[in-house]
Amino acid sequence: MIIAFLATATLAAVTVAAFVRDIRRATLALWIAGLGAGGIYLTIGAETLAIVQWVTSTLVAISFVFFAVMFGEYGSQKGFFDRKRALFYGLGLAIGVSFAGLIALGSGTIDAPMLEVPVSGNDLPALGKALTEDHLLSLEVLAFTLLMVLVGGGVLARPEPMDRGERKEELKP
Amino acid sequence: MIMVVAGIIGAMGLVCIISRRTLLGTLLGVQMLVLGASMTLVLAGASSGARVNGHVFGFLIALGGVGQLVAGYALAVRLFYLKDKNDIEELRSLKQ
Repeated sequence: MIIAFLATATLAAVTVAAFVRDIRRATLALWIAGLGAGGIYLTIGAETLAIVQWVTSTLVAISFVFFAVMFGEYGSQKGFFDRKRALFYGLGLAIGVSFAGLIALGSGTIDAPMLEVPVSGNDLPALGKALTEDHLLSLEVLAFTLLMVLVGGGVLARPEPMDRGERKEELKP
Repeated sequence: MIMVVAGIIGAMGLVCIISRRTLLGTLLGVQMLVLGASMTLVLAGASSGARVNGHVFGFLIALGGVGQLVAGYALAVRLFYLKDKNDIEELRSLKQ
């Protein structure tokens, strides 16, 4: 019952996030979708992942608001393809529904007992052991990727030396 | 049936990526796609009995999604710095 409520709320939130024009409402809807997904994780016994999802969603929503304000898009109605490009909506929707259909066909049905919270549902030691022993390479790849993103982000967002010179000229009395 | 929810979240992310015109809107769609993928793996782990492995992959994908978001923000800052706007069509101009 709870999982059905959370699933409905999450679905409603992602639908709003996908179709609303305003980036402010879309960000809020994405945050609610993240919270709903965390709630679904909680009901199937993935407490750790639920907390990670909630924290991540909240930080993502805050950063979206921050950057939207910075780029002047916060509350703006622009940023959506107009009606002349309705093909994009149709194409996206068709691909998306096919994607969902493929997952539904491939996954089959999950038996109700499978979704019940097991006794060791939030087995943190087992999770840590799996992460550091069985999937150590994945963890290292993720760590390296995040490092590269950090360095690459700094390089991409650098100011041009020419602009710095111009700024110095501007600052001169 | 809950697996379909994960699929629809990914589907909506795809719709968002295709239909939005700004880089921030596209990043929003990518976040939804990542959310759908993460949920699919967690539920697949729960349904197949490999619960912990599903959690691990969900965790890795969620953090990978944060990494791509940071990279997207850096691109958006660069684009805004050079072009003073954030349209996705302008992204190609960064190659020049």
